[in-house]
Amino acid sequence: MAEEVKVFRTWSSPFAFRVVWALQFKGVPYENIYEDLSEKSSLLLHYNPIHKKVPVLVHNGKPLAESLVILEYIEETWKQTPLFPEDPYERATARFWARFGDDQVLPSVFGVFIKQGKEREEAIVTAHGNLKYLEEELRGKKFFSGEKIGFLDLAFGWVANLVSVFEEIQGLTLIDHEKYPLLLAWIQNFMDDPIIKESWPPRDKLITKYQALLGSFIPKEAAEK
Amino acid sequence: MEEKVKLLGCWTSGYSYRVIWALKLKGVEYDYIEEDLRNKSDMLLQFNPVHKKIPVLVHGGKPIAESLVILEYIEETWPESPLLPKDSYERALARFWIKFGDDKGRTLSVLFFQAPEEKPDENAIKEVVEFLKILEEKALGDKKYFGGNNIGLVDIAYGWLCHWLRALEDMRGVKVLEPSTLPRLHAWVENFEQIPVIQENLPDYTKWLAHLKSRRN
Repeated sequence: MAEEVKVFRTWSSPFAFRVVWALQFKGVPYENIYEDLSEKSSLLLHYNPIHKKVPVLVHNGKPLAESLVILEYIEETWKQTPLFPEDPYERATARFWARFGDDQVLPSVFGVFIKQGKEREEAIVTAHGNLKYLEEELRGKKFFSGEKIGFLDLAFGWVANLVSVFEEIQGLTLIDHEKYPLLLAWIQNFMDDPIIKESWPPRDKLITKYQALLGSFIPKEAAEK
Repeated sequence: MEEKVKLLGCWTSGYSYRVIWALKLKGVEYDYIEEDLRNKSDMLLQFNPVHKKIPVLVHGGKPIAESLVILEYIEETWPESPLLPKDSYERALARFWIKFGDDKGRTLSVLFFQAPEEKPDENAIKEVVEFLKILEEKALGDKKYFGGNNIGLVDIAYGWLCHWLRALEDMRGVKVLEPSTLPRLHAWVENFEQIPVIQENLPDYTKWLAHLKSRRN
């Protein structure tokens, strides 16, 4: 029976990239279905009625939402090119850091870029407090998953993808050479991987998009100054 | 040879009980260490330096933190009495529902940990009831348990709907899980609490309610 795999996504969603990269690493053919989030398709709403978000993976008509849940499903369904460690303790460690990334690191980094003044100063401190763990986790390793890209690298893909975009827009450096030599090396190695490179979103488009997004967060009085 | 299993927990934490239930359902022997969260032990700080929280499972000297990560580890390490479905799609759905509940934890905190003088936040109540309705309709449906005929990780993850939700309702004088509006979920609570492993491993309700009240003052 022919397999049918569809990914509902946007061109830029970092969560959707996790899913797309995983499928590409495993050589699973799939179809991209691009959504306009300001006008969601009835199909998307049908497949993800609870959250109405991307990404959604639809495998032979059966939908799944939540990128990290989807990554586990992809790993179990297509066993070639394993992305998770074999050892259960190492798997638990990877899952721990992936949750830490989504629950703590991502919001704190995002906070640095949408906040202003004193709040931004505090956000920077929080972000560094979280990012230092990533730097430590890379000690002695090329990738978070070891010699090759794996689940945890895909989970942290947004760091490679978006942080430098935010930094350029706001004219500030969060991941600097002094504090984060390993993380910067990881970002380069990650981006240089042929599979990752192939589906990398255009940087100028990302800058335009996030410039507009950040603009919507600035309170009216500040924007009018 | 079986490696030693230790659990650092706290009788006041619902997260702690998730791990206890999973270990007991699988018949895994372990040493339990009760932590005083106002005076954290060196062991806890050493085993969970990132969050400094319980529960922490220590297996053969190696620590794991975060209750949901621990549950997956327990499932993989002791596959007897499986708590996740065999089918990968069903497993993915189970993981989706587990995450759904955990994400909503924050809304509940807003509702239930407001200052006592404040009137209960109507919007928060609405959101919680909405969440419970989705749970009943989409996650539970007509099944006896979230896991089907037997309980699984989803049931364990929603164990807080019993004791813990009831105590919060009593404390705030707000009822969100009513048999008239959520009959199937209400029945689930009763069925879940009657399972021997669960029944034998719940905090004393009166003690728990008193603890919650003192925490808010």
